[in-house]
Amino acid sequence: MTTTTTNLNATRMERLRQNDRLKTARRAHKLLEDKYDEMVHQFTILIKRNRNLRELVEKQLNQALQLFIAANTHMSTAAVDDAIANCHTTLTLNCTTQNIMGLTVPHINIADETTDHQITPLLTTPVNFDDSIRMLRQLTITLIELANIEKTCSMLADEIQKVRRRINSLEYNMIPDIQAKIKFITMKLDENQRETQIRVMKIKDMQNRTE
Amino acid sequence: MNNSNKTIAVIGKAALVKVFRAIGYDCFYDTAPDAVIARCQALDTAGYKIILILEKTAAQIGKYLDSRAGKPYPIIMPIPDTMTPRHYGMERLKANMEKAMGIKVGGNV
Repeated sequence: MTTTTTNLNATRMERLRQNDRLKTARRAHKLLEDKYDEMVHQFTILIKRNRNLRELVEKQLNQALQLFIAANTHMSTAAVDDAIANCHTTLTLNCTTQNIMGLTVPHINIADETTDHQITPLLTTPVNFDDSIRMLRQLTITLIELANIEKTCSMLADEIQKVRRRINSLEYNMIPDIQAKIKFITMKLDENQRETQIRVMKIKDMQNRTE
Repeated sequence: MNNSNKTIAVIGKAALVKVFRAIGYDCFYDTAPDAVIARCQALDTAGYKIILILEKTAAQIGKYLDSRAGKPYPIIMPIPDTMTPRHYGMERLKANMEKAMGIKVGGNV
């Protein structure tokens, strides 16, 4: 541990100032530790949900896309484009933000979803095609929730890392540094006091000898 | 354009992503990393809130995705690529866990 004491004034005022700094640093350390604990708690809950949703989405999306690829083999590109163009869906999302422990994270919910054309097995499209679209439509809410939670987890992870660094910096760098400064000033003041005391004693001794 | 409010876009190989047009998402058929990054920036400017990218492409622009992590919107999320599954989404999830906990946690959360 290295402490900068070269430019330090060994005075009582300076010691008082350093004591105040130490008090503030300790308080900040405690507050940041509390914030860190709560953020990790929130993160643990969200990451479990994230993992479950990710597994579900990967499984269902894979199935839906495989069905679509299978349907593609029975249809021409123009027929696929026509069939897709016939499905008129309008999706309106309500995108806002929310605050988790001072961190602004996204908050999304579906405001409105309208389908002009109800998908039914058509004569022109294979069953796989309709099943694929039906599965994707059912997956939309989960997909949006996953996007929301995944982003929240990512932002929380970054913030947790930052807070942990601040805590470590306070715990292993700043607080020991201030404590060392206080110790240095205290020792210096004690030394000065002893020096003064000895000087007075010597002077008195010299006066006694001359008398 | 089906998605009138410009909220969700999908980027990837046409053969896979064009089906998303049927459920109201906007589709863009870029696959080269530079083109995908440029498309993401354009979509951000256009006000899209969620951008889905096939994981094969997303894995190639990992640094760009990390640089966008600080902003709440747009949410850029990898989705599975049926043709070449890589589980990139799961890898990112584990990386987030490692970042938050400070240690690499195994398979289970």
